[in-house]
Amino acid sequence: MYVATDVSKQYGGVRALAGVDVEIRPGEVQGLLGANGAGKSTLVKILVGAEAPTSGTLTLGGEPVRFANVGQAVANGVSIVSQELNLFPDLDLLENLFVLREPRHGGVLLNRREMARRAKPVLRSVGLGVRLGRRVGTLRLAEQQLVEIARALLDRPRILFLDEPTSALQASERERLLEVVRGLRESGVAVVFVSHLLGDVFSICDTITVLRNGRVVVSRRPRGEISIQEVVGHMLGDVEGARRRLPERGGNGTDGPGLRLSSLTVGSALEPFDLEAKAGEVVGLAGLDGSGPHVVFDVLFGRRRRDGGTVVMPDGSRGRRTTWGAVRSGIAFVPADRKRLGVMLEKPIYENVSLVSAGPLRRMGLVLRRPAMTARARRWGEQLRIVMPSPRAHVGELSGGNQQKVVFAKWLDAEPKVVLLDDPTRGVDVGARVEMHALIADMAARRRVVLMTSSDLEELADVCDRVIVFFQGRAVGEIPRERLSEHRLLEAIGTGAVAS
Amino acid sequence: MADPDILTSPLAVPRPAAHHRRDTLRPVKRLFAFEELGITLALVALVLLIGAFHGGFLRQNNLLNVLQTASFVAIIAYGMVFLLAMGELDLSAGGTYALSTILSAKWMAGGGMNPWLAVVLGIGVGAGLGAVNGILSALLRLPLIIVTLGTLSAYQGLATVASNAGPIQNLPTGSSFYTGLGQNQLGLPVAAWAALVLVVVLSFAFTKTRFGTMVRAVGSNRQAAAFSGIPAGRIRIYAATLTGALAAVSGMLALGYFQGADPTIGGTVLELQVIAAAVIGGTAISGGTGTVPGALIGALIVAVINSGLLFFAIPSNWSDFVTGAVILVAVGTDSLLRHRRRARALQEA
Repeated sequence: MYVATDVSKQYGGVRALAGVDVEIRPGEVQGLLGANGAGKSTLVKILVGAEAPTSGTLTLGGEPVRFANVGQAVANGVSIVSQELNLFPDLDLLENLFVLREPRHGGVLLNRREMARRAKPVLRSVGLGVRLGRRVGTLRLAEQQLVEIARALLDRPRILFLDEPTSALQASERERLLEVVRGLRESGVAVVFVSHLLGDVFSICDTITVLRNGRVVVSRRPRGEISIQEVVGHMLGDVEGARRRLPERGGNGTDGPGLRLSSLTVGSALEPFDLEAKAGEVVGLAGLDGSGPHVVFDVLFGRRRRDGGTVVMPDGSRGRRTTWGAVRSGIAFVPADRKRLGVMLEKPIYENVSLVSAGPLRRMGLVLRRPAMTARARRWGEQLRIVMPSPRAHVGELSGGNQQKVVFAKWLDAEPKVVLLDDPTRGVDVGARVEMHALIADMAARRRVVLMTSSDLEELADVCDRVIVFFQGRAVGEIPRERLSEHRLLEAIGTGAVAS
Repeated sequence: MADPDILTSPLAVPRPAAHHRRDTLRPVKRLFAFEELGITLALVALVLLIGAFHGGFLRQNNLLNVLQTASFVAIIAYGMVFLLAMGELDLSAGGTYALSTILSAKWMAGGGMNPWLAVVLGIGVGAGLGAVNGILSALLRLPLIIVTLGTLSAYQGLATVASNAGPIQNLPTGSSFYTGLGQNQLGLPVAAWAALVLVVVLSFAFTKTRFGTMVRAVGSNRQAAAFSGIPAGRIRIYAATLTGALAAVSGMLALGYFQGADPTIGGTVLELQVIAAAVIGGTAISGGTGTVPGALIGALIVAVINSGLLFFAIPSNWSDFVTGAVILVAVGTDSLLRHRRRARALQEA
């Protein structure tokens, strides 16, 4: 049993944790929930040895412990699989699994046979059936996530923290991962499951703990005794807030020119695809990984060549073939991979926010004035409720949800005509997610064309006016708003058949 | 401007209190906190140290000489700051310097062309050679450092061909170009004036303009920049062109002062000094940030070291080694200090 007693953490003047008590028991999956800034990640960092608490004690199996670093925690059976993948894309699967602890012949040559012997049972237990010599960079995201978990399991942890393990996964892969977690529980491992996906938390966790403002507000409550609505209420500190609905949108897309795609074709990745999206319409594109939605996005954004077909923008102009041209013609793209493609982490917020309008769109003249840029950043900060110390703070200092809001601000500042959204709420908490859904509704209300894809089918069902279903590179059908549900989408993308 | 005003509904997101701290000493602190403070102090210390042992080093003539040598390097290093901030490196600046100078000298030799016209054309050649680097790296999809690994020799080689492997004869040294650039103006060498004017202009361009911002954005996160619609390839062509033009400007100033040109000028010696100046100045080789004034200070440090070595009568066999060692100490100290400062800032945050 791993117990934290009265743990506090102070960062400068900010108190991230204010006297937290947590108990982690073997053979139990405990869900750890909390909104942005609730202190969740600080608590996890302390428990896995990445940070030292300002005060408070940790005891592991009755013995007081103090970990100087993550390595010491691992040596004591406490491991973490973090949300950001820490893999080496150019090394192969085996090398990734055994980085820095490679079994060797005579202390020099890598002993790949021994590696394989040790890796195989673990890979089997996470259900990862790929060649051991495969370069990890060529694996799909979900498979990489499983590699990361397998690597942690090699240490035979007694306590395993999973930070957002399912948020990047497709539905079927998610089920497999949850199965892995159940297996761990059977073998007596204590699992702490940190996630924003309440559905997953409720389907896997035995007990639920909720943090808010650095305090525990729900402590190891058995799953059966609490509802999703109650949990959301506790997270937001506003039980009423959980029941708020999306703002109603006045009349679905009707008039005004929209975006027209005719016979868009990309090799075998996309069979001729037609779409007419009206201004003010939110159109969802759903499908398993590699089934087509991302190809459509990449072609529209000039990241990928099309082999045939035409794109007509709302203003009648033709689709461009470079990203620069696409942005200038009024397309915005909120990417799923925020840290790689969305923001410049080491640059101030104001530079990130003004990047598109000042850069390719040339709206701010040749000489960029910092006061003008900070003023814009401050205004977007207020409108999108970005929690930031100042517009000059680096984006890297913000929490995930607030970073994503910076990405939205950057593109809204460009006043686009067409907005492409790829998993826009990945890794953000429930509160920020609701706000982003409101933002999407607002984009539509402003007569923008919104195309959206998401690994979260419930989100697609909630937000979109209609969803086009892709299967193996082909648009196989469409589900109108009144018939949209997570269940129906899941079935459609998995089978390629849209029940009418 | 779009206003997503629907967000006025009070969604309950915990909002930590903003911690704004007012600080009356801020303007003073700011004056002493400028990024180049460390290396500026290092430069002053270096000058005083050498001066303490050899008073002759501090004589006006010598100092002006050092300033002039540093200016030739600094002017090219300004361009290198733009490239380094993009995460690129131009190895061919020395070759560009040689080829543009040789061509310009050849055109004006023997009363062929008005010297001023030849100089303007020479700068155009430099810009063109830089643009060729940038375009090649876009076409071949190679980093600039690889392309310029080739053009470094190619440009220097063309300079040898154009000059027939010897110094250019019959330069019109009586013309206003040579008499004007050959002597100090308002107390400073012309090259120093050029370096000072350019440091102001280019520092402004680097920090305050759209071009500079896009350069830094590309260096900071190339993929995110491309994803924001920034045409990274084109920006790189502009930055490479700028560096080529600056190499030629530096070459023209040297031509006017030394009144001679032969194909051995420029080359890797100059090239390495330029890179050293930019890096000592505080421009990170990993991209994202940089400082144009730092490059000037960096060039001065390199020139001071080279000149100081003469005063200390270090055997010429050792001078390269000592130069290198001093550069390592300079860059290393700066890097360690920065690292500590950042660690402390993180602790306080």
